[in-house]
Amino acid sequence: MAEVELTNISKIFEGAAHPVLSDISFTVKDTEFVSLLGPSGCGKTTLLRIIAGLEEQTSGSLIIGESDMSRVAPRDRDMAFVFQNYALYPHFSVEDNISLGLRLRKIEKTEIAARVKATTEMLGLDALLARKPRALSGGQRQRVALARALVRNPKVFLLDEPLSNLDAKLRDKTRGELRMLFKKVKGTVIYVTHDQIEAMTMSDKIVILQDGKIQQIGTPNEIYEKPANIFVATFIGTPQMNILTKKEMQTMGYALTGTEPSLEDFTCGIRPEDLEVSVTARQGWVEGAVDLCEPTGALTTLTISVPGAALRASTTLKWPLDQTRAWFTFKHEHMHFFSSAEGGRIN
Amino acid sequence: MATTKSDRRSTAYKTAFYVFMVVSVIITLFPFVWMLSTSFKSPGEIFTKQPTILPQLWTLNGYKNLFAAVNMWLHLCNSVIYAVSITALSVLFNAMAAYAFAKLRFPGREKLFALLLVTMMVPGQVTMLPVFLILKSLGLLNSYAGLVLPGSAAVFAIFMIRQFMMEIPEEILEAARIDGFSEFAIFWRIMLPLCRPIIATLTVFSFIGAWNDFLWPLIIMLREDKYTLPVALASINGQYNTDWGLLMAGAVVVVLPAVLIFLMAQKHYIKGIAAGAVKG
Ligand SMILES: Nc1ncnc2c1ncn2[C@@H]1O[C@H](COP(=O)(O)OP(=O)(O)OP(=O)(O)O)[C@@H](O)[C@H]1O
Ligand SMILES: [Mg+2]
Repeated sequence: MAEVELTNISKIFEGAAHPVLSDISFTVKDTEFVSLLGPSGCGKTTLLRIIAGLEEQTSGSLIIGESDMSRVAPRDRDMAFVFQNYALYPHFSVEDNISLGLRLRKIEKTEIAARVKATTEMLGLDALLARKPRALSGGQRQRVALARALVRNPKVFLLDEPLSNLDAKLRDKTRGELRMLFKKVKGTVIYVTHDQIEAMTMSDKIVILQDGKIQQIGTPNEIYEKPANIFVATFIGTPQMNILTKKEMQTMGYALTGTEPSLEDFTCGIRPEDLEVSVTARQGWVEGAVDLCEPTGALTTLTISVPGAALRASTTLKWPLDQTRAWFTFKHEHMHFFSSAEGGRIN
Repeated sequence: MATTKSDRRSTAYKTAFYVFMVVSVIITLFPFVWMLSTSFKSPGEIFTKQPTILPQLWTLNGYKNLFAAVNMWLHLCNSVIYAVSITALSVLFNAMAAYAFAKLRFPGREKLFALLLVTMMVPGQVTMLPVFLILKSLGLLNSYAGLVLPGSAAVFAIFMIRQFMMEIPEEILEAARIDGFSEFAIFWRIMLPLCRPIIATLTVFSFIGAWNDFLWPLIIMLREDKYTLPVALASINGQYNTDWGLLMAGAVVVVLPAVLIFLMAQKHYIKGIAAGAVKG
């Protein structure tokens, strides 16, 4: 069993004024795939490095299985790390790159050979074993880095944006492959990414970080459907969620229905796909001007301006390009309400 | 197709370039060829009115006299011991120090390194006497240890290797740390091989430097049987009337190994490495 438990992990780099991570606590269950998601510079890599033992936390504890890992050397933590730039050994062959970790652990030769064979076959690397990393394509290097991790059969896999150096198409393909791969080997995975699609499609659980603080922990659906605050609400989902203050809603002519929080002030979030739009006027709907119409095939994204605000709406309607007026309303059950002061979720 | 203006210009440029190179090569090689040819000439021919490039009468007398005048094998042996051990030790120590300064985190690292660099400003001649006195009080005069130890670490080489190592991505070392390499194994099996171009370069410099070194062995080795080749050669020069054939034969014997080493190591000289280590 390899459960990873982080409790109140904080990190302040020497000489820095602000903590890079503050009070990070979450648990990764055995065989769970957890993504750390957040904008650039929010501390994802730092957190992963702390888990790997490459960086020491300023405070907090890290427990893997039953044992406290806070003071254990990286090589004794039984984890594998896939670096963003792969960090292959340039002067060793692919085979050595993959097998060195096992050889250093004094595992029997026959077993090493068997494991290397199984792993490289699974990843389609068998024909490349004799090559040096510089003779590989980016995608192949990425798979070698993955093989180096998989072959060790570690308690926990740590991956730092392993797909970010691949082109869009390969990234799409690899995403699914990775997910299936880790399901197959029943790996416990902590996966760092700033790509929400990756996090949404691959994870059992997502941890959203901003400025070194956890914003929300939940399954992809929970996070999408019940964002804990305005940051998460706008960070997840493309096009971005519309954010309107109570005042803005009133200015644009939206009639409050009474289902809204009975507060002096609140902020409402509504996803573009939760706007209902129409080309003709409807009773009680808000009228706006279509500034931009972006058809993407199945969906069309409209940018609609109303007095005091602009909203985005996604619709399956084939929107006529010369249609410059739009009428819209919100699907009540999909409206998110946040406190305007703290940004926290209310409903 | 008619040759265009830029074609003609580039031909002219190339011609000028090659002429320049050929002249440079002749100027550089001439003393070397002269030494080689003189070593095979008879004493009479060395001083003919019309100098000849090649000997008219090839003779090995210069070499015979050389080997008769001094115990060449002994001095050759001393030279090899001196150059090989100082090269091996200095490359190892310099690389280890460079690794620490480039990749290990410890308090005061930058200050210590700056201090080390400052010592480069003190010329060797200034420290020679104090070092001599220290060696004397340690009883290391006339010994190989005394000859080799003071030169077995060089700040400039440490600096060069450190610069090179700093280019190697930290992640490779971290991957190794996670893979289970010990700190020493990281140095020995990852850093050293990756630094091969700079190490090869410094090995050659260090070897040739020690091989040609005259002053230091002269000061430290007081007994004739401990002389290195250059010192031994100089001592012949003083003892007899200058026998140019013999002297040039000696010079050939001294220079030859250095040239061979240089040619052998040439292909390892600085060239791009670490390619393929990280995204490319
Ligand atoms: N060794 C260090 N010393 C000081 N500050 C550091 C160090 N490493 C990282 N930081 C700082 O910590 C913050 C978080 O860095 P980190 O690399 O964890 O971000 P990230 O979330 O992985 O970003 P990205 O998505 O761009 O990779 C950054 O502001 C960075 O400048
Ligand atoms: Mg990062």
